[in-house]
Amino acid sequence: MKRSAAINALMVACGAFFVTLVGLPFWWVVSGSVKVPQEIIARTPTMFPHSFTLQHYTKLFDGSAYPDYLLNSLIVAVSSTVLTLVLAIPAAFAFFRLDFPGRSALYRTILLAYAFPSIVVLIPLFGLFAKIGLVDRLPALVIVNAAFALPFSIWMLRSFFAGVPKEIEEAAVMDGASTMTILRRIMIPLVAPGIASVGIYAFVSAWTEYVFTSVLILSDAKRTLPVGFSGIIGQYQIDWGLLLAGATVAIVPVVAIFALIGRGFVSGLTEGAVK
Amino acid sequence: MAQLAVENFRKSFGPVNVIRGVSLEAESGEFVVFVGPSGCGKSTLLRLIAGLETVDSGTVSIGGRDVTKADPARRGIAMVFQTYALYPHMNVADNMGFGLEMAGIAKDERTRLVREAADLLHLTDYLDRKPRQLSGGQRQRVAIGRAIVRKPDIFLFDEPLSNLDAELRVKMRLEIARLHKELGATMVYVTHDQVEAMTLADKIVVLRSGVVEQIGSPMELYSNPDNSFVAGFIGSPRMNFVQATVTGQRDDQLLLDVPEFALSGLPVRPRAMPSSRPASLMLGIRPEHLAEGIAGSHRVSLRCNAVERLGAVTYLHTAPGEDSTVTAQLAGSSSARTGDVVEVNLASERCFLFDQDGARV
Amino acid sequence: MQQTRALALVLVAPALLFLAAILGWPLVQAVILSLQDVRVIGGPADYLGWDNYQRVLSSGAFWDSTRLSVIWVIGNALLQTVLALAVALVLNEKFPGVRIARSWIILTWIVPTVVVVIIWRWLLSTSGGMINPLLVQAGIVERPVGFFSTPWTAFATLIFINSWRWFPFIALMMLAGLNRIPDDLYEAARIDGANSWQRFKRITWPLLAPTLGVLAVIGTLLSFNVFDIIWLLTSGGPAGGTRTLPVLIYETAFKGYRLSEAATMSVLATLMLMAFAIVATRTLDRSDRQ
Repeated sequence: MKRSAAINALMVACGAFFVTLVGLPFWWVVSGSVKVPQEIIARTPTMFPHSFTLQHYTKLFDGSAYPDYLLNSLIVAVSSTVLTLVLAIPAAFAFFRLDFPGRSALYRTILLAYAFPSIVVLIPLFGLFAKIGLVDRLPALVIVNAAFALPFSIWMLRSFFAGVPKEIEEAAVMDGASTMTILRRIMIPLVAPGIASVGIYAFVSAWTEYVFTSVLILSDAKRTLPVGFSGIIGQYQIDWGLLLAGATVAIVPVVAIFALIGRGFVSGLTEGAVK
Repeated sequence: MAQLAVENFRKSFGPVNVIRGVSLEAESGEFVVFVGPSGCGKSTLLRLIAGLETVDSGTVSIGGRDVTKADPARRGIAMVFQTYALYPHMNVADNMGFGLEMAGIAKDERTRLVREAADLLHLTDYLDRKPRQLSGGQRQRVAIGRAIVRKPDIFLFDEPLSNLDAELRVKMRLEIARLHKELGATMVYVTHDQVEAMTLADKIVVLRSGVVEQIGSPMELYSNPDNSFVAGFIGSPRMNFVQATVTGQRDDQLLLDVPEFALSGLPVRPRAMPSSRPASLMLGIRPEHLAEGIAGSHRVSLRCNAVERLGAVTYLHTAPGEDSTVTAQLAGSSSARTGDVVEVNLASERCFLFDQDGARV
Repeated sequence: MQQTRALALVLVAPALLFLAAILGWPLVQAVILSLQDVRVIGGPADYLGWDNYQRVLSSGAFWDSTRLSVIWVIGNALLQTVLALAVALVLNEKFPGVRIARSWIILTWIVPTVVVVIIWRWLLSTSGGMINPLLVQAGIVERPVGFFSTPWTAFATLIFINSWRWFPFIALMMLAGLNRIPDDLYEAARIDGANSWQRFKRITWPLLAPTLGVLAVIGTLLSFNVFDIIWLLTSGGPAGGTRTLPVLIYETAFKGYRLSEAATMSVLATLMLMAFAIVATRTLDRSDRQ
């Protein structure tokens, strides 16, 4: 495709603009986390660090409950992801490859879950969990995160399941495979990118969740990263170095996961998503 | 190998009657072809036999056993799909062995059976490859291999060659014929291509709009069609149909005036003399029997409005693009051009007669 | 074949029951709560009927927050749509580095809100930070700008930050829509002599419109719910200038200890959202049919 040089330049400029818009703030944060305190609050900010120190990180890990928060977040995020997948995959398979009475009605009902503000359920849910003794326990967070990720996850899996040609399923039927075997041996391997996408979505949602965690978790030791860390921010005397280091560490797990299977997520969203 | 017996299949999808009372039989070891235009129901018929769809009414027996209510995997059949339907994430060996695995066959036995089939199809070097690393023809053979490995009573083929290019299609056609001879299996084959039907079949089932038009061997259908649809469907180029008025009768022949050919008193023997003499009929004559260089009883002049030269043979068309066109076969070396008037021979004993509804007279 | 029907229900049941228990049932409870007089969890629950609704609907704070929420939603929708569309169009082309850009543009969405909060709290702060010193150095302003100091600037800043967070995600969804437009159409148009703008106007826009519509609806529902960014950056201030409905509800429930009143507000908010969703999807369906 031949394009005029002008349009090409415009494209590259736009691309650079957005990369800057997205990337620069992160660069500032990460580079700031290793600057000495004086450089961080200096009058003239520096693009590249002129100093290097790990003091903020040591303070973060030795002097605060940050490591606990990190661990809690990891536990909750991984568990939520697993729970979401365990519930979403069979459901999506049933919705999009099998036929049963009330199929479309039920599917639409599930999507309705997003039509109301999550705040609505916050209060009654707290009451429910209080009654069954799940308040201030991590499993409560896992349950809530999975519940909120579930409808969108099922929706995301839809296009992946729909993309498997019917004839492959029929060939498996002719080969004598039961429906469950088809799900296990044929469908799941073929929708693996979709599963990766859902996994990332569920992980990220759980990793960043704030509201419910702040209400359902009372003791500091069980706090997840967003809540625990915001507690640190709220202090009057702001230690920027500490905060920047904390922010950097909070980014690392999601970035790492994304580096591994993010490609699938993006292509899953862009190529797989249908209405 | 078992017999296939289909009795009075009926199937509708919602308001659409796709199969309207179809019955047929296949002897053990026979190669049966379902052929017909798009939408005639041939694929549906195959899928009903396979058990991928359920009949509304009717029965199907395989090897004398009623399998109408049985699961596809329990009918003793194997199917080769139009799009091959290979499992993309498994290699060739696993693809072919999947059905055996489902049947609970031990790994060693599976490997042996897969190898056997692979040898038969020249796939031994490809057992480790994934489908996306194979060419169209190779994928086709894997699909066939997957069927062979299960040693079914009946093989079902759903337009297996449609996705191949012309040259490969001819090659695979011969390949399938060879397989049939070597395995001696009963095969049911669906195609819209009447050349495939003619060359492969022991028996052809011609379908139109969910109904069987005629069942017979290729040559039977060619030389003794039951109606104008079958007559027009089998044989390429298509049979010519022209109007004729009946002017008289002589012994067991009817005398016809055929204005299109400027013939009067053309004697044609009907299959069976009708009880009351019809006023007009449709005359059918194949291009190869309205030709130069054949022994013909009558001469016909045709105006050439389009010429197709194939090298070995040339075709003349009087009204290209119209239903009423007449096609005649000329010698390959013919120098006829558009606008010429050409004289050809008509072999009257090769003429067919059809009434206005298309039924053979 | 009969078994597959039963099997299908078995496969769907866990997800459905789970959602019914965790989302469905509390919704019902919230409605019940709104009809009672409950102050704290586990406190006494006298039946009040519609009293709560009357009180809430006549309270200035509720309507102020509703107004702020509406502005919030519209502001976010506009800014995010513009940014996302621009990014999607750029990422739809081929140029060196586009693959990487496509993968990593979503960085702002995958990091926790608290990180977003820290980033921008620091960048925009009046002492230290990065933006203000740059602005001063470039001579654009004379003194550091207090982005969070007045209600309107705080609100606008929050809209920007929230959009910064979400626009790549929306952009990827748009990219999906763009991907579904066959290249052939563009090539045919190019042969017909259409320039870039015409191709956008006559091919891209009409074919993308349905996707944009769906995204607008989903985006609105999502942005309405945003709580953490606002709470962590401004706590609804200054002077309640950023106190959208979710913030008000949270405050009423957990700071004001008036659970029932908060539940009432939640139910009203739900009704508003549902009304919007129904009207919006119906409008989309109608324009789809055209």
